[in-house]
Amino acid sequence: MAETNQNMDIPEMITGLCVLVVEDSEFDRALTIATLKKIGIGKIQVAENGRLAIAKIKNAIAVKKPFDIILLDAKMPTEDGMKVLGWIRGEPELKKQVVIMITATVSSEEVVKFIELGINGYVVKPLILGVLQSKIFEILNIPNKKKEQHVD
Amino acid sequence: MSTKDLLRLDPLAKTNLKSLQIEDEVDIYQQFVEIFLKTSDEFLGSLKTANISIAQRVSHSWRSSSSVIGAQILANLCLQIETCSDSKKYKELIVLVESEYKEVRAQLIQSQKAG
Repeated sequence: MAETNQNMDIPEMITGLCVLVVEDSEFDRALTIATLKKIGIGKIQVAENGRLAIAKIKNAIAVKKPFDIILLDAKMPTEDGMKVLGWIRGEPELKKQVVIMITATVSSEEVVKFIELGINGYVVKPLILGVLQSKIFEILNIPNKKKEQHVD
Repeated sequence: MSTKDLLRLDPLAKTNLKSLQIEDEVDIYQQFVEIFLKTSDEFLGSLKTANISIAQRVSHSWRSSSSVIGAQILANLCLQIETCSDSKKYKELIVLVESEYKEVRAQLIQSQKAG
């Protein structure tokens, strides 16, 4: 039987999170959404490319409901993750926006670029439930009960 | 790792994908297989007609989904296309990808039926 997160067991701080997934690949998008849902995140929006992502982020600011996290695919045609991240960090309202980069390959040069552009973290494809969950919890300072139990 | 050491369809991938199932929702593995087959058909069509630069981008996406669905040989071939700059070698790789995908496709459909 697959492990299942029951909503009643998930703290409100997780179910209440609003996440924007920016991913051009339909398969990877589905995987990311399924992984976020399994973590228990209740509000998920998607953008299929960087241009749509910027439009959604602008709209979220306009309605004063900013995203708690933006999951950004590094490699997309035209407006890639780096460009979107550059735009985010150039916007005064988004200085503290949490951005996690999702990347298929990770070279030291890439990591340096990510850091220079101000990412909060990155995860490597293929996406793994435990890895993404740990990264989100770590960045948002959410206690990871499962991890603590394992350590004990 | 050489191609001969890789599995055509790694059973662990199915287990991993099924672990994302949420109770009372549609079968997540079936969903992933459907998306994989649909996008793979498109990728193969693109690879046969695209220039090398577009083919490298397509194979990058296909490598990622092949790896998640457990099609290790296919993912490995996609990686070879991604890094290939020789047009003769590229054509040979497309033939290999098409043949491998045909096998993967058949096994995935079987796997879907098995639940």
